[in-house]
Amino acid sequence: MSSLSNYLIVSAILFMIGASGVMFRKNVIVIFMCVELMLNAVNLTLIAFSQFMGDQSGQILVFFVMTVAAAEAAVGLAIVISVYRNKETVEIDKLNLLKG
Amino acid sequence: MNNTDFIAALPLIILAGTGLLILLWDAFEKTPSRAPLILTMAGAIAAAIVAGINMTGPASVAFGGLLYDNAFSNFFTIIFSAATILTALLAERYLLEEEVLVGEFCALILFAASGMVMMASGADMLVIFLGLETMSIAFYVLAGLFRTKTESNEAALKYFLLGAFATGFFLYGIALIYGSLGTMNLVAMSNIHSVTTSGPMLLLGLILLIVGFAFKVAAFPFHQWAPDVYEGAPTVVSGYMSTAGKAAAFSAIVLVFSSMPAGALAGGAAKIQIVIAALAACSMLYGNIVALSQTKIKRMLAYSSTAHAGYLLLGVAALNATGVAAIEIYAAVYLLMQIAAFGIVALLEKETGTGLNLDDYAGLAKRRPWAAFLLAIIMLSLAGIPPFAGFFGKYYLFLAAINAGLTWLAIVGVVSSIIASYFYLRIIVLMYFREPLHADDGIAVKENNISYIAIGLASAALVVLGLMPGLLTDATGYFFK
Repeated sequence: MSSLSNYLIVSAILFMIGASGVMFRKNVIVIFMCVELMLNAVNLTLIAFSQFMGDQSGQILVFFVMTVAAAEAAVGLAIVISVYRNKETVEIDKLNLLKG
Repeated sequence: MNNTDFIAALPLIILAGTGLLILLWDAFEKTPSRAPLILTMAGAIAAAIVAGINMTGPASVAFGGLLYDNAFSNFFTIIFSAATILTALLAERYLLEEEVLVGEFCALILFAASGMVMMASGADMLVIFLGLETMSIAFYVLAGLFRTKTESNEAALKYFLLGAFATGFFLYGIALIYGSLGTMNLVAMSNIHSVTTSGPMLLLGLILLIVGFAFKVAAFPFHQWAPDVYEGAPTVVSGYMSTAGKAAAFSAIVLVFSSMPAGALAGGAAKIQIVIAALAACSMLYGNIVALSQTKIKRMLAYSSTAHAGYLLLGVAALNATGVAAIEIYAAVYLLMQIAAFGIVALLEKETGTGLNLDDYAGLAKRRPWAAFLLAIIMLSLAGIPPFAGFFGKYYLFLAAINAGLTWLAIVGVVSSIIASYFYLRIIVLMYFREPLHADDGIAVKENNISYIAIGLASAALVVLGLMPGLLTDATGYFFK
């Protein structure tokens, strides 16, 4: 069994891939996928801690995170659809009505 | 699990239950009516009364260490309920005129309120996370409530993407704190005496938590979404999420930070304080300076809300008993001011979405003397001019900062308040001493007594709390010396 730090490093890398995807990609759907990647990276961290510390609460939180991510996806994709109906695009650059 | 657990959670159960009831009612009743709004208010009033009764009882932790039932949690429950009541009152005209789904709106603000109550009373980071998400998901939908308006869609999308991004950071922070302290329970955490695990991981966890939290309260430099979202979202919703949502995030962060075991951070505690103090100073200065150059009132209020997040962060940076009480007081006062300000904006907004520029407020005193009078009180209070409640709120926050040895931060706060008074007072000058730039174009907004009652109540509360600040300081359960 590999050590705790291996799991933590993998999940930190996944988290950073997700975070940089959110910052640099332009397509809303891709950005949303990157957010999901961030959440799942955290899930990996939680499970690793939970396993190595012999404490159950981390794994319980993972179930809740998955539930919340599903709820977020439902609302988020609904918002994306309503944007697409009005603007016919989901590129974040083209959504620029609101500015100072 | 016993009866006392349920009594402790009763405000939460009432808010969520009323929301579900409204959804059910809405499925059967097709004609738009005021019934959901009345039901919302009844639910929120009941929740506030139960919280008020719980507040007088002894403090406890319900559900095996998951929910706090103490003065702090019940105080916040009462102000969230008050925000819900004010929002429902203000929404009456706005919603019936804009022909959106009243039932859904009411259910969503109640779900958001129940999420906020979970954040303010969570004794476990799991509960705080669930509360945060319950609130945020309801807000994403509320921001996009006007499905056919492109602005509203865009606001919802931006809020959703950045909110979900912030959730990632918040959650990573929770995971690292869990990993370094071995528990997610705040009660267990505060009882840890010796910390064996590494300090840097805990420090990193707290920093990530602060980043996620700064996104949610729109503190500098994580505020960029706020002006866009507050401008595009329905005005009443902007008022609700910029006040109650912010207060809820502050209550959660105070709960987490005050549960950190003493000595866990060793030298890190001072670093965290510096980070928060820097966020506070930058938010106050940036928010107020950028608000000076805004020409649209909703964007101006958004930048001023960033500045107010800065004032509240001052209390978090201090993190002593005075700081916590000052956050409670300022959260309550800020909530009244900002909801009422957005309420007036909603009242003067035209159906076509115009009437939102600062120029439109020129000569308002002649056209709508009452609206101008109430807005003048709110602006004076936001600027922090005595005898209005905004002054005492700021006073206690600055006092907390000085008590914690952060005198420089209090000075930055005072300077930024002086800068802020320029744009708050400019609105009063526009309303009272300028001629209207263009005559009222005929489609005058319907005068609405219920909105006026709500705004009048909030303004009256600002005056009363300003003259008798003891009412609020007693409720927080701390004594100022």
